[in-house]
Amino acid sequence: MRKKKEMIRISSMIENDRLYLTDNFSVLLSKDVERVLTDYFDGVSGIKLAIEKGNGCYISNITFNALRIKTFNSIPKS
Amino acid sequence: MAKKIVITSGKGGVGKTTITANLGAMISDMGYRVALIDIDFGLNNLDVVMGLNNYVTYDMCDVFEGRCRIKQALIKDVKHNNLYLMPSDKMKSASMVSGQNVKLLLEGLNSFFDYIFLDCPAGIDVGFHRAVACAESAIVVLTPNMSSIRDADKVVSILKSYKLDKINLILNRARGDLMLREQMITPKDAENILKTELIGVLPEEDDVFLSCGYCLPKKSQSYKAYKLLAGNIVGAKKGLFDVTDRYTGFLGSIRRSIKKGL
Repeated sequence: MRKKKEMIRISSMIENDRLYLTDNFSVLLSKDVERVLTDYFDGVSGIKLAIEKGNGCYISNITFNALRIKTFNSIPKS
Repeated sequence: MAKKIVITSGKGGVGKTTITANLGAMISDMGYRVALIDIDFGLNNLDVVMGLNNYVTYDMCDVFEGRCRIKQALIKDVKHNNLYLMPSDKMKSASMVSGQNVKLLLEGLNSFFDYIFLDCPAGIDVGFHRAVACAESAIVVLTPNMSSIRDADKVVSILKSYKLDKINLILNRARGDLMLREQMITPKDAENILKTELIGVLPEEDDVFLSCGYCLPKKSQSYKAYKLLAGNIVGAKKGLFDVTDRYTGFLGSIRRSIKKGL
């Protein structure tokens, strides 16, 4: 039916509009991720970002190497 | 304090101005004081739809430039007691007006009205942002076709960045006969695609065209649909108009066949 075809077309069109990745996005995100990771880990290197379009959402995998977790002394023990 | 609601859409020609005028009329008939502001500078038509174009002496630009007071520019509607129009200038370029100007104007009107509706220009240019920046909530008008729904989705995503109190949809020009034949997107479909709450469904009807879109006959389907919509806006939660109702049952199937034949 016409409606069914139209619904499929609209849904895919809108999904593409919503899940539009710009070229600079990955670069910006990996810089931000690196900054956050260095707050928690020592010797962070080899950050890899894989962002894929899933079923109406983004699925992203972040992999990185680190030597150790930083020790935090700011939170008092209960 | 007035509730400031912007009536917007991505695509042009979906019925923003007609909806603004009729909604204002319906809500004013309920006893609320309503002001309609034509923010569509240069392509202003709200005065024409309301039949008040011959009453315009001062406009919004005269207020901004100090040639008159706000109340002098307001035009009282001929047919509805509590309804007022603030016309915009058709001669001056929209770039002459800043968002701050409009905001100050609305602050001046705040205490005199219960509802202020802003008729926004089509598109997502400066005029759109100027109107949205002054509003507390937004209504996005769309028709059941692909380009309109796609544009509405873009507008909704921009509106979300403004952190408005509410963003709702109105589906205009809905045809019950086509929906029953599964040839047109239903209100529920539109709501699901755009993930935004629908507060009104307005049917496509000859009465709207014949009455120039304003002061609809009380027996018409559109009048009933507008009444439900107005109820939803003032908070009575009247539900959505069922455009398919007219085309169900024995008589409905005859109407459907006639429409199909046409």
